[in-house]
Amino acid sequence: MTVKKKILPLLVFAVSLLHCTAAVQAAPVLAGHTGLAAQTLDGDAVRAVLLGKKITLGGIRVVIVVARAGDAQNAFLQSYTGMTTSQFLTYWRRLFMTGGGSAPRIVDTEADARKLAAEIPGAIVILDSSNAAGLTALAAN
Amino acid sequence: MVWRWLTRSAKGLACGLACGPMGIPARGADNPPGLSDSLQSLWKQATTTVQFGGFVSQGFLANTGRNNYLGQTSKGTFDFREYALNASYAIGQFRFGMQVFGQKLGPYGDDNLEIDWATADYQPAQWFGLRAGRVKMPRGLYNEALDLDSVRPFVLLPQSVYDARLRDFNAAFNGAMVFGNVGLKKLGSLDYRVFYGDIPIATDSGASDYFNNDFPSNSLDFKMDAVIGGSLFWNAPLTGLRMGYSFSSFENLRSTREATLQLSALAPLASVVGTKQTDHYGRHLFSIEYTKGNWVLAAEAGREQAFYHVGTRGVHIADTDFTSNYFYLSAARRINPWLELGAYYSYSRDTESLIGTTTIPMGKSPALTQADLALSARFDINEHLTFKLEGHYMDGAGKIFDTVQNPQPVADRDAAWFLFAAKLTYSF
Repeated sequence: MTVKKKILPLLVFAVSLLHCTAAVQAAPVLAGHTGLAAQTLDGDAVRAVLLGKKITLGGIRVVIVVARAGDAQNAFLQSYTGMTTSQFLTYWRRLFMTGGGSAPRIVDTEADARKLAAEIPGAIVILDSSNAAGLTALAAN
Repeated sequence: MVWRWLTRSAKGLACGLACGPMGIPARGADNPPGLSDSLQSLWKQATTTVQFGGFVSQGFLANTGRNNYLGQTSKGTFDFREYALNASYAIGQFRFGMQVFGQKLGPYGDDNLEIDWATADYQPAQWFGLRAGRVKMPRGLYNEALDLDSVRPFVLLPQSVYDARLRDFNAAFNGAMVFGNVGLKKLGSLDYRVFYGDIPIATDSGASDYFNNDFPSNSLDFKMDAVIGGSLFWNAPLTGLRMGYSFSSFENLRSTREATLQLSALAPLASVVGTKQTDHYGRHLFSIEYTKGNWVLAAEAGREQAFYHVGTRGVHIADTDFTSNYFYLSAARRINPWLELGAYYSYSRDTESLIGTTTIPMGKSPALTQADLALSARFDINEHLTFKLEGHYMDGAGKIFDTVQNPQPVADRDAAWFLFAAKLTYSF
């Protein structure tokens, strides 16, 4: 009984620690192709780039890469644009189909998005910060 | 060697298409051997930025009663479809693109293919861009996306503001537009657009019937000198909130038309060629939209006004004063990945009154109104295929065209009626 009483708080502490670590790891980040390494974006610039109002970064045409689903991406988009991923894609479809911008590249998973963003000059992508290896961080949520 | 490279590159472009829910970006062809790194990089960038998109929609419309609103809707009609295909290419600060479009909406469109938009863009800065060619007209929240079923839950946009028959007036203009986004720090940002151009209008278009709706007549020609306009939208600091004002004016809008008239009680029917002209046809529209979570709330209110001069063979007959006031309120909510619901209330009131006296009966009186309460359901069958159902309760005899081909005098119109709409859309 005494042992259980001592172990329980330790378990709670350990679970809390894990939870906190997970929360840190789950932080969404806007990352880009390594050619954008010199760029750091503030909130206004992030919003402008995501909504197609700012089309180049450092003279390079921005290519937005979007995963069909992704919690980090959804949270980031909601925070900066007020849109869900679905609404964001609808916004871009409207822009693209009316001659107002170049459509984002759409892939299935966050891993596919990271891979594609690493290949295309000017590509930007929203990822979990722990999954952004090989890319340069442009802005955090 | 060169031929092998060209063949491989062409195969890479033609066969290597990767499909997404929005446009089809061409997959980059293999790097051609023997080119420098910079040329290879340029090649890769070029082949990954050509994009294709399109849609095909087929709808059905039917209403109770006698009114023929968007075609022969009193009997039910499948003459309600749109389709388009576009390609665009972007590099650096430039973008080039074109869309071909066709439609059938009752007597309008007739499945003739036309260039919907074809533009060259140069945007050297966030606050300044230039777009020239055939450009989609900025007006209110949704005018540029009139034909895009895939971006909204509604089959018909609120017709008080976005009358589907007036596509010639609304869809695009030939000219140039300056645009940009200006940051206001903590106050959000401003989107501005200013344009100048011309709109060719077909004599058998809905815009022509609308213009000549004061008296049933055949339009022999329909022109304007220019269209000028712009819009200013404020993206508020509250994320998801935007509001703005749009203005456009058709300069020296005029039509030559032919009508059959009985000029006096004893005179026989005679064919008369006349003219109708206004120096400015002005359109004002205030808009507000708020997106929060799965909700999209919108409202727009506007006014159109023109003084018309009516004459025949150079002789002035009469002047009329035309005014249209309208507004709508709408709400849409995404319920789950396959269902979105929407509703709106739309109202318009048109008045055209005679200034002075004439023996020719012109100017609809009293004011004609249309109130439209609509409920919509959108079903996303998959990421490419969408099906919509929509019901409207219509109150009022306004917005019905009285033409030579389809006479619908005010006295013969139903004042309260139901309209049903369904539409299937495939988009890529």
